[in-house]
Amino acid sequence: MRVQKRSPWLNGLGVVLAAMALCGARAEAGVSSDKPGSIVIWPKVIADGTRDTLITLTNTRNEQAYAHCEYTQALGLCSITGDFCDPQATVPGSPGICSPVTGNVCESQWRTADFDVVLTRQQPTIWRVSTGRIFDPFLAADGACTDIPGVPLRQSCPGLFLVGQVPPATDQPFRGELRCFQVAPDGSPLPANGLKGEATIETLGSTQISEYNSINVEGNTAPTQAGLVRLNDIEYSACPEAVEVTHYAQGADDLVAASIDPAVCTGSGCPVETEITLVPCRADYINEVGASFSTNILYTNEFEQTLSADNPFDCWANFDLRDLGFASAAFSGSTFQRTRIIPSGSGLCISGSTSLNGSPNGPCADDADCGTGGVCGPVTGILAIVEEFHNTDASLTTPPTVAPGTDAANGYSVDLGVANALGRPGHCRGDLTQTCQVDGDCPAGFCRINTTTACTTDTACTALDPADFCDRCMNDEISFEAGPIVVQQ
Amino acid sequence: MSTVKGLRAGVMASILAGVALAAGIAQAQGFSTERPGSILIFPKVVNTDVNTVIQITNTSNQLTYAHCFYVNGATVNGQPLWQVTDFELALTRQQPTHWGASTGRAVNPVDSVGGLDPGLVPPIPPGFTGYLVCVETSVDGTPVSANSLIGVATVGAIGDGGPNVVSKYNAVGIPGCGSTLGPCGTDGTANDGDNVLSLDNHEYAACPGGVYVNFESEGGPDPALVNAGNTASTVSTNLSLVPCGIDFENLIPETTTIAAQIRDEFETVSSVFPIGVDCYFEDPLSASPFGGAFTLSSSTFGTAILRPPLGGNGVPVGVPVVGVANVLRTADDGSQDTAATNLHFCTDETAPASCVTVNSEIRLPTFR
Amino acid sequence: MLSMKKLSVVGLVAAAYLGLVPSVHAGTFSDKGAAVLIWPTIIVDEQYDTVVQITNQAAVPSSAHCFYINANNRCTNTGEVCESSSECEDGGFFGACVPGWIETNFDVLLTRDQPLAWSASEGLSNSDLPCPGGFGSKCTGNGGTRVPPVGEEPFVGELKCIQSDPITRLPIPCNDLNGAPCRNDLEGSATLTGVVGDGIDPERYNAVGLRSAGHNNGDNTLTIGGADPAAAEYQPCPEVLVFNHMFDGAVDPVNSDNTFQSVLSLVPCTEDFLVQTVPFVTAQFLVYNEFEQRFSTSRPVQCLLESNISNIDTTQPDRSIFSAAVAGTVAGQTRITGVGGGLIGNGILFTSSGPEAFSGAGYNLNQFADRDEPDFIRIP
Repeated sequence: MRVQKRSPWLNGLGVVLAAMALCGARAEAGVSSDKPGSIVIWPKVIADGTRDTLITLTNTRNEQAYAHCEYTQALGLCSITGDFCDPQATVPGSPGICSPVTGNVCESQWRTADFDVVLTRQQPTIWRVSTGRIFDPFLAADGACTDIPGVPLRQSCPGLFLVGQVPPATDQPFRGELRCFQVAPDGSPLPANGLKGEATIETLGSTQISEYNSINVEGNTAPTQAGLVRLNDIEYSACPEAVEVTHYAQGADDLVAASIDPAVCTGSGCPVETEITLVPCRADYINEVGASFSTNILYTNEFEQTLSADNPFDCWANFDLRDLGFASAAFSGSTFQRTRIIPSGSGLCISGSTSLNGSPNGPCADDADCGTGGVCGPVTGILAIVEEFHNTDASLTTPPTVAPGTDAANGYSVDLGVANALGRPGHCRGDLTQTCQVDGDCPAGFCRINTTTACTTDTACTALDPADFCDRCMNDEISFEAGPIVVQQ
Repeated sequence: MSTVKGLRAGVMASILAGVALAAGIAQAQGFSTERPGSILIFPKVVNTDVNTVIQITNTSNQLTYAHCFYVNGATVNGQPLWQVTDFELALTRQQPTHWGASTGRAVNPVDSVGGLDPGLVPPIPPGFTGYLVCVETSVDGTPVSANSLIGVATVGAIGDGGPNVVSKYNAVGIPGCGSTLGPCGTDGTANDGDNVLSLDNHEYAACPGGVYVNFESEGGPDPALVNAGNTASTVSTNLSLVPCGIDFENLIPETTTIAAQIRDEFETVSSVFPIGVDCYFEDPLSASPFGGAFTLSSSTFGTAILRPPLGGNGVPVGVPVVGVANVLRTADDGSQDTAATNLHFCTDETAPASCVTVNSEIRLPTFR
Repeated sequence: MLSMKKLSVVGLVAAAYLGLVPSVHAGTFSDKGAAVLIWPTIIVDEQYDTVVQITNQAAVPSSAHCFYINANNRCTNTGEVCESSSECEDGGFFGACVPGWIETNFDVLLTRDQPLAWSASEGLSNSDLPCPGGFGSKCTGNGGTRVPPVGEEPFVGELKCIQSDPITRLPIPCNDLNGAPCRNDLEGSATLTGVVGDGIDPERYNAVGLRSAGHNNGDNTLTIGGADPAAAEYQPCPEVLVFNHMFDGAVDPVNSDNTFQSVLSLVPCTEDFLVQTVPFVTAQFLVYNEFEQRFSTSRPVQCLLESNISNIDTTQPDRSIFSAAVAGTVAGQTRITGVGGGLIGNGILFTSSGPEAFSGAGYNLNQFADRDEPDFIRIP
């Protein structure tokens, strides 16, 4: 009888590979702006009549790629007058602030609109946010897009555009974000890591442009729950523990403009204003709920002096440094500063009817704070973009004769040393003070839908509701409807 | 036979024993504007047409640290901003320090501001109306119950052509309990050093159930000015109130509702309810929330207790407030001046005061 | 409990799964702290200057040993800066305009969490340091920093900074596994700032970073990537750079009076500052337009390639595969592979409505896969 010999080498390899697969090796670089991913995020998208944005999306792989995209309108609405407004605007008279009527406050909105994109292998594509794009196979390939008159204005550009059309941004003025998820043709999330993008924000009527890379989240394994993508370094990469940007201090003069041409800075100097845009990693497109997030914003100047500001935001934030009362360059004497934004707070209600501040998706410390059937999850991670506006005498006159010079840059991910990796650790359901990497790091959890049912595996929850699952080690999540890719005619 | 020496020793021993016993059963001290504390609240900090100078002193013989939070309670169309800016101080033993709230204080040993710079203090923006909270910490930012801090604020403006209005008040000090022998009495415990500062008479003193406001009839004449020949004088009192309980972790502005129980010199009682305090309250007694109740019809002076209403079970609904009153006196020649007074704490839990002590907390930011 | 047999089966399944899923890769980083920073485009001329920012991410002091590389082309006969050989006339004879490579090195010492910035044209002298130390100083920690101005104007080149020991000026020996973790504390950006008309044209990009591979022997040869993980001290340079751009001459869909022009800067990953040899890599370009049509070309990168993209493959831009007139679409994707070495780069997009009305925006390139061959940086 032939004895089957086992190869010790193969056994050993099996053990190693099994361990890697089961333990979910943590990728270092999972959320980045210079590598393709399976979720593409453009945090700052503007189409408000003074600026517009060109979105480029590219398939970097040799197979056809499908993307499901969501615009999020983050402009608020004044509660009484109904005007569009900026929830972060606080300085009276500043753009985006509600008119001075008692009780006329800017209420945050989170309105979304979704569409699909189909890209052939290695195909780049582009569309303008205010017009969208309509496929016209007869359009001359002359490197120029053609406007299609109408309300709203539409546009066709030369090139393949298999999906048919991309709509213009939901309502305009539009200020918010765009996310695209790489999906299979049936709409299910596909962690193929083939997509990347850029955003070019242009000032209308001028040549001023800013460009930044999209922030791309790498996927590792297909999600196990329908409609739910978990950014936990197991399914998809986790968001960073903190983000930071280095930029001109508030009101600091451009370092070199006056040396190049003193005539442009003689009146007002050449002060640089800075805007920082923050988006939460977590998003719930199924229930149309934007994630609230609290931040501790530490800013360090060149003299090693650090100040901080603490601010809550709702679903999207774009603020000028003056909006948060940042100490100016005139006070500190420093031209540059590093601003680090750290998510703060005890927890975030991800379901339920209330929270510690009374709103459904507000802060919490445990499930009870979220109301009956509520779930208190960890606070969301944050992603950031910075944009600077370089002024001259001509841009500060009334009316300005030139637009301020603009530039944008991606934020840096920061390892705070909590998990000894750039990705945020998870937190245990029922005890958010305890960090975790995998479910096994936590004691028994609770079901997501039947919130009082303890569990250690999904089986305990699916027995009660097939759609339920067990929460133990929780991290950021994005939920969106998974439907078949629809070609617009 | 006991010698005189032995008798004296016995007397001394019994005296010392009595002192020790008395110390063990000393009354809990609670919030104070006269004794050092581990948390300071400056209820009125402004950068409008008047400015504020903050003074903080370390009354201990050790180096101490403080983590301070400016809270901007200014409103935009009635909505409080509740913008929080924080910074850190280091105070050497017995060191006093100061800064102008509108200018902040840089760390620059060769600038014109004398003294050891306690740390970088940011300026508050124009239009800021709110309060300052400073929490005593160790070097790593862990809250401690060392009870080293006292504070004073000067609010006002002096300028050519006026206005010349300057007033001064003491910061509200919240003592840390520290132990059973500390200011909280036998219920006191050590500070657990986490980010939740429990104002419960275990970790820190609990919130007094209310505050007293002694006032002159709003809009009425001031007797002293009248006696001096200024017959058209007026008095107006401005209240600055801060809820006793702040959540810097989740950045949720505390909201509470208080009632005012007013009594004039003829023991005539009236009340005002509800008075909403949404993050911060700053209004004169003539403002609409008070409904004119502080304009006394038949009395020059009055006193009021501001406290949360009691529920059916006698438990206060909402948290109480701490604050300061700033009194503006205007003479008939137009000259003015202000005088600030700390609001005394009401701890009488019996009717009619019914100032039931309330447990609350201050949550410091954490990063997850 | 899993038996050995079951583990083998699981292992084989895992191996198959991992083979299907894109492998975890490293590459360069423009949005995370790093141990080596590269700014591929530093420009100083009569219209533009470059503001260089470097920040210490850590709560401990950090030091960097930096190298300016002056990549100006020079006439072989006169030594003057040139753009083409036609400028190299001397006494009726023409020299050749060839790439140059002159290196200048200096040190930057950063305090904890500190951002520091300087203009390339002026550098940073002791009196400009925020924390020079000494009486009257607000802080200490920058002592020893002295950034020279770039060697000449005009200047086209790159900057490299290596996190190092302030005394030895070599990388700090470290090993993540034995209690001396390697540090990745540096982040940086450059803003090419120009004055155009009455306005300012800022073009900002993040520096490209090489993160530590987990160990470093602290010698003067920095090994970047490679197949042997025991030898690699820094994570590898990318195999492919993915450059999304607008084709030159394409009409701006937002402001139809404007047309686009893109500039690409490439520098080799491998550089030898010790022997001062000019690095040479051949860059292969695969260009895709929105019709999925593909073109290709190649170009040597000797020290630095900084070029309008429509001048990469021809001197007649209208005939370039990078021009909208040839490609036909507005957007394009170009995949750049280095032969004989890795490449690092950045892009700048310009819009213009005329020769005196233009502005640009800098951005970072994306990347795909890691190089199997190692690259090296050798420092004195």
